[in-house]
Amino acid sequence: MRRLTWFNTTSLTLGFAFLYLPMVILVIYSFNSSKLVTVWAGFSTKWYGELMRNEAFLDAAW
Amino acid sequence: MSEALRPVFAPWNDPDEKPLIQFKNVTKRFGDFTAIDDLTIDIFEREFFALLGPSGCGKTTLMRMLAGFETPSEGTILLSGQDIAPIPPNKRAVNMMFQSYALFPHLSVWENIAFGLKREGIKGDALNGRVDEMLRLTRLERFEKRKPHQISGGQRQRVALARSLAKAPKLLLLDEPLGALDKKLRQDTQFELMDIQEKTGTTFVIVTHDQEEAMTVASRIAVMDEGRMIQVDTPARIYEAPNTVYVADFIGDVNIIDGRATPSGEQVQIAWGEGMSDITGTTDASFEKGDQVHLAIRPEKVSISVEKPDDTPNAFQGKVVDIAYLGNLSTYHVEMPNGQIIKAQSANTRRLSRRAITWDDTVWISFTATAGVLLKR
Amino acid sequence: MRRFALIAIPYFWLLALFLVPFAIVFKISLSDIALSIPPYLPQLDLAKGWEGFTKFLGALDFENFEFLMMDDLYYKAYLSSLKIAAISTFLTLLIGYPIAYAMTRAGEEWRPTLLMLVILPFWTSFLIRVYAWIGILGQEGFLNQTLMFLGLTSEPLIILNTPIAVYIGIVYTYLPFMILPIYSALEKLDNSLLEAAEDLGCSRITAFWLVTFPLSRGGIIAGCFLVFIPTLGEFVIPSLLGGSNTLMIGKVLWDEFFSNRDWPLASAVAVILLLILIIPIILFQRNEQKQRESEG
Repeated sequence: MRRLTWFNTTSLTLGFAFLYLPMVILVIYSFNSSKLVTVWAGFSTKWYGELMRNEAFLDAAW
Repeated sequence: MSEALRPVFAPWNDPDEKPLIQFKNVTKRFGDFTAIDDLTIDIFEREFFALLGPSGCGKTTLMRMLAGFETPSEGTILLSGQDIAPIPPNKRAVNMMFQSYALFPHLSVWENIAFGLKREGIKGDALNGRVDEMLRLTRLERFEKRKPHQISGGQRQRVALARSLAKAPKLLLLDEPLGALDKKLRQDTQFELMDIQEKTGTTFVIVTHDQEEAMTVASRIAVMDEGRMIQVDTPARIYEAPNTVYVADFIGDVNIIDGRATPSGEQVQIAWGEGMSDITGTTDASFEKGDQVHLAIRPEKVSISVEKPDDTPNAFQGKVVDIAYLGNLSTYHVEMPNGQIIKAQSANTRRLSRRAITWDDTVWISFTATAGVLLKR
Repeated sequence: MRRFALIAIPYFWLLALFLVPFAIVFKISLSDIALSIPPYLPQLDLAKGWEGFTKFLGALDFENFEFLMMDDLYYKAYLSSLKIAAISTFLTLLIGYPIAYAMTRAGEEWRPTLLMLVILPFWTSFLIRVYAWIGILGQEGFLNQTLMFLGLTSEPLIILNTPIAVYIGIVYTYLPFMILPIYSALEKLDNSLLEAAEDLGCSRITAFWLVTFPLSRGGIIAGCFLVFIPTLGEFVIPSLLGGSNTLMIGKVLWDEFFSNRDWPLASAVAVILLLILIIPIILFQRNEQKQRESEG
């Protein structure tokens, strides 16, 4: 295992964090019980439930 | 003036000579694997020192430690008396010629050669002068504006050489420099290298697996195996006086005869097979009765004849089972009564149709008592 | 001759797939807006015969192009797009190069994983990922919440609906396009070249600038074009993240087409955009060709 310089390790970590954080945040917020995107009100899967019931989404996906 | 005695170049025999490079108990490990095992050697200025051995013997690792791309796990390496381990490769007075040449593809031949000089801050007339000198030395004047992919393999090799000599290093390392060239070019280049080495007075250390190459160019050869130097000597001594079966076998062709020793006066009798008379040999080493001994004798020292030769202490009868015809020489493979095959080589002084010996002939092979070397291992 | 026949069919097929839509758009750009479906006149009706065709040609004019030249909005939008595309390309290079470089320095066993991580975002929805940034960059967004929580700022930063958000969005979206060609160029680099440079007196950093960087130039140029050319016509990112403050030609085109229902004008905008892009596209092609030649 070749040792990476601190510069390279930082580049890789920050780079991939930049690429993936928004998606991770998105997933975390999909479990947000509050309707407001940015205010965290507790863990909930209710939006997934709503998705299953939403005709338009289901039609589009299927 | 009578023919002058040319001084023999042998600084390793001179107790007053200070070596340029000293390895003191150097060991190099890569994880579990020991590449260099407790190696101690002195290399002197103006030597053309060859590291010879099979793949994996450690010769390239040794060279890379001199260049600065590897550091020893244990031991010290001294260059002109100074410990070079803490000095990075870009600050050493050592330059390397890479096996793949490693020419900068985006720079012209001229730029490649000037590269190292520019890093030292040399510019203007001094720079031009030196680069031109290198171009002349390697006969590349016509190609100075070309890029590496626009010249032939042999020319690329010369650019690599010129580039590595440009900074007039104390030590030049050559990593299998002639491997990619065809045989004819290789032979010519070997002599060129020797000329350039003498002319510039640089110490060369060359890594090669080609024993002919080592024999041709080197002032001393170090035969290596598994991280150790088995024998370090001039090409002549390596060939005529190998110190182990390994070295004897590695260089050139050899017959190895195993037997049991019985010392008798100045000579040693060797029992080597049922129903066969003993071989008489001489040696500088001392053997005890019953010792296992290996006789290494070169095929050209074994005479072959149809009639039994008189006065040769070692004469044995056998059958010719094979003949290797090499144009100038023929090597006869003669089978002995105990099954062992001895190779006898002789020059083809007579034309093919007139030769006396052919397949299945019964012949006598013979050699003197001093023709071979007795080895313990 | 035989080789020509072999590529003739795919060549003309691809040519047609490009030329026919372009011809249609070009024709619409020469038409006038009308309250009809489709909303432009004249329309080609082959039933009307040759006379109908000549009348059709007579009704075409360059009115829309003249309008584009005269109205401020359009040339400002083109300039703004060029500026944003250039700056975004530069930023993407600044961020993408170290990542590509670090990827080549990682051990062999890491490479497939890292490559997959770079390509994976392509498999997800581009729209959703841009949407994620709305949630992050807003005044109540994740970024501001984190900064204030850590005490780094006392007031929320205004990023959303400014050009900064557009830059972030573009770099984010096009980063893999920059990383991959640079990675590919760097990976082909022979390590012994760097050792040779060091042996001849370069420090690590000098060796990078004198050997690695010039030899990765082909990858850099390819990456820059792959970012610059699509970014010029980008409209999703400036629409979602840039707000009304950010002027880009893609958005202008969208507005003309859907809000104003002025297909002819929108088509004229598109034609000019394509003409602007011809030069970068040709330069990109020539770079690719030079790359291929030097490799062979």
